[in-house]
Amino acid sequence: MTGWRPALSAASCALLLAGCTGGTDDGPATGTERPPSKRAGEGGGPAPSGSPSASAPGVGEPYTLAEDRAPRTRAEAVAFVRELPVRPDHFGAGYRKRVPYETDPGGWAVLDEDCVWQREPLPKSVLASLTRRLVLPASDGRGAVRVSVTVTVHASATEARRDMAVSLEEALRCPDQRLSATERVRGLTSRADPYTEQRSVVSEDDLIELGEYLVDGSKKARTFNWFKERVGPVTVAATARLGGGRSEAEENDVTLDVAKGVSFVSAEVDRSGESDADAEGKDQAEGNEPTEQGNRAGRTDSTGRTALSTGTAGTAGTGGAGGTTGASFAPASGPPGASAAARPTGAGR
Amino acid sequence: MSEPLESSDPSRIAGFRLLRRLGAGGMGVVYLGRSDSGGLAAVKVIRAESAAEEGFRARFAREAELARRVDGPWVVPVLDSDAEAREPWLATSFVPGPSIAEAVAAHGALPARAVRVLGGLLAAALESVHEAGLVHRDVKPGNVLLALDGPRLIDFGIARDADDTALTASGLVVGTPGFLAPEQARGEPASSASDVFALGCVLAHALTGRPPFGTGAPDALLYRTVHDEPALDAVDDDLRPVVARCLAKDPAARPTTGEVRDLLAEDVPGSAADWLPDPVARMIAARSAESLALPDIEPTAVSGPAAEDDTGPRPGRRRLLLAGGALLLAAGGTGAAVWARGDGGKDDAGGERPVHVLGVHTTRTGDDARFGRVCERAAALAIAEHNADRRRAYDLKVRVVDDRGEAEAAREAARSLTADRDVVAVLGPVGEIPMRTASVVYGEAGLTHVSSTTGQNDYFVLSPKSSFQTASPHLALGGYIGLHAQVTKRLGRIGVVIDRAGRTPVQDQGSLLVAQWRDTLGGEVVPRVVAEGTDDGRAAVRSLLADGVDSFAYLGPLDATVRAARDLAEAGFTGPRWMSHQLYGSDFPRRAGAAGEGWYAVTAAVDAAAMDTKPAKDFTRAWRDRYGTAPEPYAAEAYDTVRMLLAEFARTVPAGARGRPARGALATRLAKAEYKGIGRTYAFGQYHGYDASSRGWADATYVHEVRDGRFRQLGTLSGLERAGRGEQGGD
Repeated sequence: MTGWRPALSAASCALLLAGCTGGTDDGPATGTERPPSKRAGEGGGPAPSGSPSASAPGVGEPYTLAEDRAPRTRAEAVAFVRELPVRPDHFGAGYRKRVPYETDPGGWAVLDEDCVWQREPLPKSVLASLTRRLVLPASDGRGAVRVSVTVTVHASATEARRDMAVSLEEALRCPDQRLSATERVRGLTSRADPYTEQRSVVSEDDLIELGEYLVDGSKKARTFNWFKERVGPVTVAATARLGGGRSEAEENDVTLDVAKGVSFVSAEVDRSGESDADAEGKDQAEGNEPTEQGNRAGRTDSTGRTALSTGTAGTAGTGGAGGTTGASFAPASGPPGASAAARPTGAGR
Repeated sequence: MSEPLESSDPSRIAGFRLLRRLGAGGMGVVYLGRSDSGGLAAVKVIRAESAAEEGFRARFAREAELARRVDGPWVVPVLDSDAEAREPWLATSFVPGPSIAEAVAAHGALPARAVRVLGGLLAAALESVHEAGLVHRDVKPGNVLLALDGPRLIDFGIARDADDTALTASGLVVGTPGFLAPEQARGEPASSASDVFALGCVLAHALTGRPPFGTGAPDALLYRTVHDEPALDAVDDDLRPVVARCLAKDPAARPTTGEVRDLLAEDVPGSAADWLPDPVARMIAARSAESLALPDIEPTAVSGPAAEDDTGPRPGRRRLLLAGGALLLAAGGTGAAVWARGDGGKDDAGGERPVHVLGVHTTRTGDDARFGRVCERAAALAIAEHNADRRRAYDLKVRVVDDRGEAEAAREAARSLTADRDVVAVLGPVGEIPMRTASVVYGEAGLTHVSSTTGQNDYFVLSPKSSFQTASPHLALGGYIGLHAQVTKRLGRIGVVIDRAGRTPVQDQGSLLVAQWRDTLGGEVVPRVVAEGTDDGRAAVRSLLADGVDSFAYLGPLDATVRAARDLAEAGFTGPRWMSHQLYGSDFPRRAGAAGEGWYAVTAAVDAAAMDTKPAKDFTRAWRDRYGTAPEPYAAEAYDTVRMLLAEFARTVPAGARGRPARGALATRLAKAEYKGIGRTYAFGQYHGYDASSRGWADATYVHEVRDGRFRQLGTLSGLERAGRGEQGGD
């Protein structure tokens, strides 16, 4: 038998360290200026920065949405996902809307028994699911980055938790998945971190996968990343498919930006649950944009992700537990606009 | 109060001239002695026959050494000892006051205020005993002496007389029935919480004049202790809540000594002896006076070789003593308290060594408390062994902090240890969440800490220099389940449930197990992930059964795993079944009952008692000697971890220097260190985790099977592999 060795892939280690550095720089600094908000992400509440302010009473709660403030009907849910401010520049400078921009909120993508993503009508446990498609156009020899952002409203927080479990299960069940007629993903590693475990996430639950995708006919595998957060009964997911031509450091920057973008959307979901008065007060106190910038710091501290890439060298060679999970895949070819796959667990194969 | 010496008694023990007999028991005699510098001492001399018992001298030496480390104003200090003498002996300061038992017998219950003071100071006394790594085990009214400035706790755990054990129908119980904690009554090991229980009994006794579980035959007392509520009706209303909490059946529900002290210590007696009722104060004064008389009179009474004479001096001495005592008794004894304190200040030679402190960052509540307990015990044992070495260059003490398993409390706990400049290294934290916050604090302070019970492997990001782990990563251990199946040729179609209620450690295990089983070993896997906060685990088990899996891994918390065991048993499933490695040593065998039989735990935790090697046997014996039980799961790893830390720390201490080495030096050394422990060899990888890549990992991973209601060690993975090939198996 051969030995087991934790092996951090160079990419995620860099990602990790970048995140850590960001947190260290921002944590204490923003901590002192932070308004007395409950928000975890602002100033890096759960960040392992060690700054006293990071753990002061009244901070350190995750982004969430109380069920009684969440959409209750399909109509409300559709309105919610449509009205939620999801801006291209949440994901980094230079992003634009892709055409077609939005999918039909009455359907979503499901990973079938053969590990192929299929677009299907929503089950009863899901009220609405909308995917928006963005692109960072190619420039200076750097390929385009395609991002698909999916916001899904589940019938309850429990159903959303089940959806996160299904996502994790899919990654284990299907190490290789077909996104579309022309694209597939492979070599993914995945992990999910609940907020309660102090691993620097900013929402109640935070799932991440890093891997690569292949376009049929091309031998060159490219970087594929996927992020998904749960905010009460709502899940926010984003896939990123990176074009070639970037250095490792540049790829890490792009990846981190997408991860932050998901947190910004989560912050919007959280904000939607506040009363008007709360929201006003908050806006006056700190302004919208600074809040989000603060959130960046929190999200940057995505250190928990290390273990993600600690696969095995020797014995297992399983660095990638394999598979992506139900996520927003908006293949160039069209249909399944992507969505955070959401199904009750019981329905699993 | 005392008897004259008998003809067979020695006149001198080392530096103490013996004056009187204070008492005699099964193991030896206690004398009143006077040191060359004039102070009075109680000298306990063990009969040669008693000392002949195997291991007695080593234990005596260790306990005496530990007792010398006990440092507090309310405990009677150990002055000197010799375990190597033909008749081993130990000398403590002599406190002339009556015991609580005598005071209550003579004058009845004590007033509430006196008991409040008494309780606070006794709690402080116990705290210093526990800090030295001892458990008193026999706190009772007879072992608390009263002085004018406060109580004195005596007889902490050293060379207990056979008289102090009670033979009952169920066996031998160490301690005094009526003041023993329920766990001691059941024959389980005593802990610091057991002393708190006994303290509650002492306070109730002092307040009411009666022990809270009554009097009578030992068996009846023990039964009542375990099953009945204490009689606290007559206890003062203000004190009843504290006393009742001390007397909680569940050790975990009792307050710590620190809490008791804080709850009670509002009054500390000053120089005025006003905390005790007058009759008791007079009693103390009289006793003190009687003792004070001794040094004045004795030199004239016992002069020269006449002391060695069998008969000559005795009558005369007794007469003189009686006369002197009577004189001084009449005068009263206001100076007694000063005397008692002054003598307590006399230190032993060992005190000249520098003292360094090992922090133990523990968790005493929640699921991780069982890990915390063994870490505390392991540290105390390793420290005691260090301090028992006569050639040691410095003494070590333990300082324990509890984080209750909470992130913020863990940060605070780490801050308190890093702020203490005497702390040179830390064992812990115990749990993953405390590790996450505390490692940052240790890292910033540059204080080296090693956790022997955490298995997430990204802490180096938070604390790249100072944080270390000796436990195997969860990821690796999950993968080893597949290897266990492979070496035992059972690599079929496995159903793997990852129950997220078990948090990310089970995710780590499950992810690697699935990948390993399928992609590396070539088996079939059906994974299921169960959402936290749902009851979907049972449905997952049912669906896997319907799927026709022939083996099973349920990776989740204890409750859910027990339920899965029951459901599988009910379905008649008999294929191999694995639990999360974290449940090794848990209550699973008892909770699951027959349904749990045959389940496996694959873990790096070794059962030292099941091993034949000399280090394992020595360790097991030392643990039994100290704690009266075989080493609990994770004890060997915690012990090895402390020993490794201490060994490397020793190398950072400059020879001959009395100062403290720079904190950072230890981490630098440790990163490169290798240590051969009981169950495996420890070294750290690039990220300061247990280096599982070293060749011996298959020799360092143990398979335990639930059999006959307990975990049984089957052997190492490599041992099982050899057995599978028909070679010699086992470990």
